[in-house]
Amino acid sequence: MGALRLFERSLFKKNREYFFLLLALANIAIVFIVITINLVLAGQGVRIFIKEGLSFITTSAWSGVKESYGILFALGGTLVTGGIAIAIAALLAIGSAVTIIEILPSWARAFASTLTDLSAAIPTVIYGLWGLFVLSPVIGGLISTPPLSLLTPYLGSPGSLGTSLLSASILLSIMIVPFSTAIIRESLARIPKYIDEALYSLGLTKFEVVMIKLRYIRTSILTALMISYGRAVGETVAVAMVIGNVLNPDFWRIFSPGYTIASLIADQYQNAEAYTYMVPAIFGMALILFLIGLGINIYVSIISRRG
Amino acid sequence: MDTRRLRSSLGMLVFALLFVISIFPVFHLIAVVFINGSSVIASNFPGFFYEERPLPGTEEVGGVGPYILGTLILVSLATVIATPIAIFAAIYATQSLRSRLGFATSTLTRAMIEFPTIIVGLSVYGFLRILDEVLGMIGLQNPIPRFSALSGAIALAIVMIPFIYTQIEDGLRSVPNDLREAIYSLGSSRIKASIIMMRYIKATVITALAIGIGKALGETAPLFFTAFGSDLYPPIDAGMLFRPIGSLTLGIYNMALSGYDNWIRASWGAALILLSISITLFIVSRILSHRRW
Amino acid sequence: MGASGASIEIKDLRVWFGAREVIKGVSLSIPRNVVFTIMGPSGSGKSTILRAINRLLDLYPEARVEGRVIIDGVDVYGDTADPMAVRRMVGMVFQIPNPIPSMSIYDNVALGPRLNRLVKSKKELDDLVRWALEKAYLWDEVKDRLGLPAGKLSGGQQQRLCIARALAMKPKAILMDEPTSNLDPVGTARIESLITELKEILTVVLVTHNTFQASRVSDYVAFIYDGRLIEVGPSSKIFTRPENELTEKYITGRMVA
Repeated sequence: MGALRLFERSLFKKNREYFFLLLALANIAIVFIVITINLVLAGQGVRIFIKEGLSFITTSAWSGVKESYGILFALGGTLVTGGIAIAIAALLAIGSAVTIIEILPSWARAFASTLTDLSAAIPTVIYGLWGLFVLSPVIGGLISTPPLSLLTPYLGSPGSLGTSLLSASILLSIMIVPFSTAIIRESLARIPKYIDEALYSLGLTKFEVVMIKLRYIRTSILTALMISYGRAVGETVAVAMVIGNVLNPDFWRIFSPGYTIASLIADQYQNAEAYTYMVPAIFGMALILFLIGLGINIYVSIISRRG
Repeated sequence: MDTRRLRSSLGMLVFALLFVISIFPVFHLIAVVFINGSSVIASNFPGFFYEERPLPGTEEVGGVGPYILGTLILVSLATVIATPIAIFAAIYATQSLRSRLGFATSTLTRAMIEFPTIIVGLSVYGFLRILDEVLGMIGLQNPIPRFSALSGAIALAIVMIPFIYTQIEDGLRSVPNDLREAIYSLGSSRIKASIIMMRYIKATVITALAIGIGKALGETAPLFFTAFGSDLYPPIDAGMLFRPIGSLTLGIYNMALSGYDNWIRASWGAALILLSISITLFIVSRILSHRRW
Repeated sequence: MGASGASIEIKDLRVWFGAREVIKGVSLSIPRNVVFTIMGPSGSGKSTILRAINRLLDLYPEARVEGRVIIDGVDVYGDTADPMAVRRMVGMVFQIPNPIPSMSIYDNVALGPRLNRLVKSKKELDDLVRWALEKAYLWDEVKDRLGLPAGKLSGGQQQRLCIARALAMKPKAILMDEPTSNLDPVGTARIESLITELKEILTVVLVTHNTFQASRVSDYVAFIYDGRLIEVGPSSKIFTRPENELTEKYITGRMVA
């Protein structure tokens, strides 16, 4: 709307702003892209709900041959792996942020932030490769020997190379820690110096001061973890490489291989068009992923406004 | 009193330990890729860079030439599409004051960064399918096949745009007010003023491109339903961009999961090539972002 | 209450920030149970002296301290000194009222006693919080809403809350760094009358650049200029018969800070 108004005004003013207004086409393109993504996902994704109804998300069945699609196992796998990843990442990220701000000298801080950005620059497929051939076998070994193997009756056992929901969770946590660390680190650094002074002036130990400061920024920590959860849920290739890609209806058995929504999409890309309803089913899953992300974004914007 | 001090030291030690645990994997990963990858590349040097994938189950590691070429084509094309859109949009959003369109792009690009990239690829695929149907109804043919280099490049471009855009927008907003006023007080039009300011934030622009290209280079998920992948050199002709194409990332993914020993080894070699380019681009963006000239 | 405050002895204090010497050899002798004011233009180093007393300068990696500070016989910078024990003995109030805004009024006051294990029961803690808030003249205003986040209080109330927080530690001295510079006249008046009451139970070391405030509340005044002690003595003498020309210029408002 603003563009239109500007456009009219400048026509009357007869100045040389036409070229500038042409730039707005790029902005329109971006708005168009976002709207199109929304429409395509909604329009295509809804078709599977029309065919399968709610059983699309309440049953565990995935068969192109039988044309029956229920993604509960993948939905569950997504939530479980994301949840474990975020629990591990929370610990690691808080520990890292505190170390960087409260323990390391200032020159090492710059180094740590470079390292954080570098971790984000590594392609996810390489995390997947390392996860599959280095990390998974280690985790597979751990959960196949006592004492952890005693849990096999309850939590299942890994696939070849140690692929499992747990391996995927741990790989995810490694991938999201740098990002969570960066947010927590920044809000820790933003706490005014006078809060430190007040706390130390009461004769508190460093650890006590740090714990109070962490409580002080708990909204930012929560925000960081929620956004990281969104990233974990959407991560595709790295997970697809270490999760084992097995239809595992007992998705809470984290020592067994399984699926997440994103990894199921990735795993099916080569034969999706061979079946009538597989493409709509894939769009249905993408729609769910999108809605989870949207929900997280809305939640985050609410808590960060309140906090 | 002393237990408190002990507790404090122990607590801080735990934090430090968590830090060490969380940075260890990155170092390990880089080291493993370099060690495994370099021995693979050395075993077929320089053929690894231009040969095609070998027969499965043999002793040969072959090469990843088609994947390198595919990545090159996809990323260049995506950069050509994304750069003008991102730059023009950032200029318009920062120089048109109080424009709702500018505000919308600013907000939407920040949301786009958090879109799972698999969704981006799927959306391009879905859009092209719809285009197929719609154009088919009126007897026309969709100019962009859904499994093609072009559609892959579009998907990558959509992934890149928000990264380039946000960098440049932040750069333009950080132009000091007195400079901005000086430029406009000379009576320059907004387009001219924008060009001057873009020149002022040159380093940011290059950083933005390095970050965007680095992103596109490492993406796998958006290519599944678009570029689709191919293990052979494409025939170099007019139809090249309209056929499926491979990439380093798709190659690594498919070979790593193939179960064939020699393909898995080739995937380590490909990973080293990809990681080297990513780290190089990262270093470039790091050096430039700390510099203005 | 008698002489329950601490005496503070500062001997040839020198402080550097990096290569810059900001305190250039200051010695002060602060008797117990008085209001002792360190006065001087901004940037003269007053606040640094205050932070040297309770070793808060430890928080600034670039700061280096020489000289001695002795609080009731305890050498603050001695080899066996425990900075945390020193800070428990000496409370502090800051220029910007700095309660933890998201924490409740009660918790802000209870923070120190709780973590320093000064109390054995909830009842004892309740009593201590009430005592501290009463001493800070805040109790009547907040007694019905102790659970309210401290950030919701007015600036003057927040500052009195910070005083209560320091008092709850039962310190022997309290350091006040320009405690009224961010308050309105009403808030300032209340804090000033509070300061004169407080010397009954402890020693007050006040830093201010406001000469009127210094003359209203102090028993002793030290005038600091450019990191050096220019003049020190009983308030009545400094404000009527200053010996140094700089001091006279400052208290008559002829020095541009």
